[in-house]
Amino acid sequence: MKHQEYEYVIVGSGVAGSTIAERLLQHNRATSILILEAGPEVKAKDRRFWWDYVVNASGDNSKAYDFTCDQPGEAKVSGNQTFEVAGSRVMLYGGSTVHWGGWCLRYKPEDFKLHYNTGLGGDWPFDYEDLFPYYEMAEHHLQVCGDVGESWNQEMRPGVPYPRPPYWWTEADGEMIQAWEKNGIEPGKMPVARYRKCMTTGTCKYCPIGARFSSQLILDELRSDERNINLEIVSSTPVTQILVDSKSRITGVEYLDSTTGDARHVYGRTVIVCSGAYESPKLLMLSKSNYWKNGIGNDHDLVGRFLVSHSILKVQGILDHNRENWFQEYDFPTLMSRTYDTPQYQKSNKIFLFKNRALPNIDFAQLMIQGKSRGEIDAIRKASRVQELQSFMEETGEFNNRVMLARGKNRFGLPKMEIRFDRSKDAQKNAENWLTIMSKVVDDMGYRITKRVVDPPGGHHATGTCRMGATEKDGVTDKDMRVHGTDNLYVCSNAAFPSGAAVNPTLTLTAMAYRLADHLIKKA
Amino acid sequence: MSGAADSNDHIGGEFCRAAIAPGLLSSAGQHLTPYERNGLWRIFQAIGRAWDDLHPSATDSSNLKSTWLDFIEAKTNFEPSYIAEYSNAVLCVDELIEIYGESNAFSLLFFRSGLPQQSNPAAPPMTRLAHAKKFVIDEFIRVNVVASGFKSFGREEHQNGVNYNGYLGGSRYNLKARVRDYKPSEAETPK
Ligand SMILES: Cc1cc2nc3c(=O)[nH]c(=O)nc-3n(C[C@H](O)[C@H](O)[C@H](O)COP(=O)(O)OP(=O)(O)OC[C@H]3O[C@@H](n4cnc5c(N)ncnc54)[C@H](O)[C@@H]3O)c2cc1C
Repeated sequence: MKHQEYEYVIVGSGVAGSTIAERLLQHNRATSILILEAGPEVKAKDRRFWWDYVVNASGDNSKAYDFTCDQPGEAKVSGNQTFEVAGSRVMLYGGSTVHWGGWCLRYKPEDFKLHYNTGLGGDWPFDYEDLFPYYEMAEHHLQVCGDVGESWNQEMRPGVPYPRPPYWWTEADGEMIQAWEKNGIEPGKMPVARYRKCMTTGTCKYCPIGARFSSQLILDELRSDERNINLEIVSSTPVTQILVDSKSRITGVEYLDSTTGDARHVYGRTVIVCSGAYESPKLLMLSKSNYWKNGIGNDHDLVGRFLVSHSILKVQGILDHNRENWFQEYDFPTLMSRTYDTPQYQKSNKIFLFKNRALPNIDFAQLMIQGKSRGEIDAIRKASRVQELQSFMEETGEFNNRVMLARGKNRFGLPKMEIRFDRSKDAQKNAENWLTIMSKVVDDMGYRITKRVVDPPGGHHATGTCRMGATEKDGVTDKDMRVHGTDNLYVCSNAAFPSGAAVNPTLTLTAMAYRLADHLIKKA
Repeated sequence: MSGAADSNDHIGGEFCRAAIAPGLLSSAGQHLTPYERNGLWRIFQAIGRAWDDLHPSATDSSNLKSTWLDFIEAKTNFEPSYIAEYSNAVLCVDELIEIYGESNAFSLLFFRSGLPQQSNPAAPPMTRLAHAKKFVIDEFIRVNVVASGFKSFGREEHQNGVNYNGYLGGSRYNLKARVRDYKPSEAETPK
């Protein structure tokens, strides 16, 4: 490290950490910031990596950064569901947006009052209106495309356009749209982070031209900007503890030196934990001292609790011809609806509907590799097609659903984790009801239903594990995501969300990162 | 004809059938020769002909050459290098052509090779020809499809450019609109 002490030490280089750093530096280029990242640096926009991904498309272990994902079985899980951790985050320079889908939806006003409206889960200590200006900043930061004309936008963004126009529905979306409308479901266009001009390579998970937003691109720009003289970003450097010299004052962090493996200290006037919904609570739990016997912010045993996941519901059907030769034309989603994402359905685990982004589809190259002739492939492509209706179902935070420290270390030198997760009986019943509604749509499309499932819960959109609350008895963090009982420790992560809504979290997280940066600037 | 395609064994002569370890061949210190580069291009072109998935206005795969060269550069200039695999594949194809003649050689190789990988893609490549199939032919097929071949499987008579899932369907490859939009009719538009 260049310095002994920094104004800000940020733990984690994902979208949360990079957005805060960028905003602080925009305010004052001389601000001293140290970003410590546990994972390694994997090159973006590399031709070889990209070609390997393309030609190995049928294998699932083909992306250059796969080795930074949790491997199956690495986390210990228990409960009435098998919680999926593998593939639900990446640990590297730039964090999980290196791997994400880029769907960018605002939470709805009712999501901030879940407990107030339903008696379930948690309430945010502020309203949608508080976040409104920051949502706009976040949409510009991520360059979100979307259609302002949809009915739900009248409430959420009256007169506020998206930075980019939407991608139109594809022809293969058409038959699902017709079935939706028959069932009173309004079709919408999926808002997606199209950071730079998309050339529709269909390889979003490793874009050869950096078109889909990834925090790596922001970090690269920050690092190469000579004005940012006091910014330092260090990869392969896991933070193992937060240091204190009194109950309320945080002094810095302990990290493992990437070359020697030794534990070292670095000091910061403010420490911001941006380590995701798993590692953020783990780091607080690890940071035990005479002042914090159970870890920082954990006097009321709330750290790691209220883990929320999205259930993914799927109804798939097959049609016994494909006369139109339809195939999904982009490997990203174009069709969605928020018709069932309203206060009316909040008590029954509301859902966000979308069409499976990759269907109908046939892997022509694989058939060729298997030695099928042109005639045989033509016959296969016309014989049938498969479509799938999917949704995210909101789940609500339960005290006993939690992330815990487990014995042993993972590859990054961080403690392993244990997850306990039960899906409530009500949620299971509601999921069944939603599947019935979704099945009706697929049936109305004229398809024979072949699959009707609720996927196991997973960590892709995990939230809640350091949730905000008005007091330290309600939550780990306050309305500014400051850890209750401390002066200068913040958690900027989905972990701080008291509810997970029915849509993807990252736009809201980015808005929260702007909000926090502005709070810090004011405080300084 | 030695090494007939319908025997239990796979096609080819002594070279193609020679047993080798399944891992990627080491390319340390090697360079791709112009002869080998041309041999590889001949394989790539044969793929376009065999599946008749060329651009409608093209008689061969020439319009894909810049994409293919980009792929070859990426595979030979960066680790792990494919140079030794490329060299091996060219020698295999040379031997097949010598035994069966060019047209037959490619037809057997693509459709009736007798290689276990054809029925089981996960089968480890245990001979020189099996290496050529896994590391060269199969990857070239994917390059052919992503770079343009996919369009021929879309609408009849190449009426529209279509962008298949997972494929490089950027505008420069398309004849017409990149995407066939679904536009709701008046009756379908939500009120
Ligand atoms: C497959 C997939 C698809 C997704 N698609 C979408 C989508 O379409 N839309 C959407 O809104 N969201 C999506 N998400 C979720 C999205 O990726 C996350 O919400 C977002 O990236 C979280 O950002 P973050 O900065 O909080 O955490 P991350 O991006 O995960 O970054 C945290 C970083 O902190 C580092 N770190 C952790 N612990 C330590 C430590 N102790 N010391 C040092 N460094 C540490 C990690 O290595 C990591 O790089 C998706 C996620 C996945 C996995």
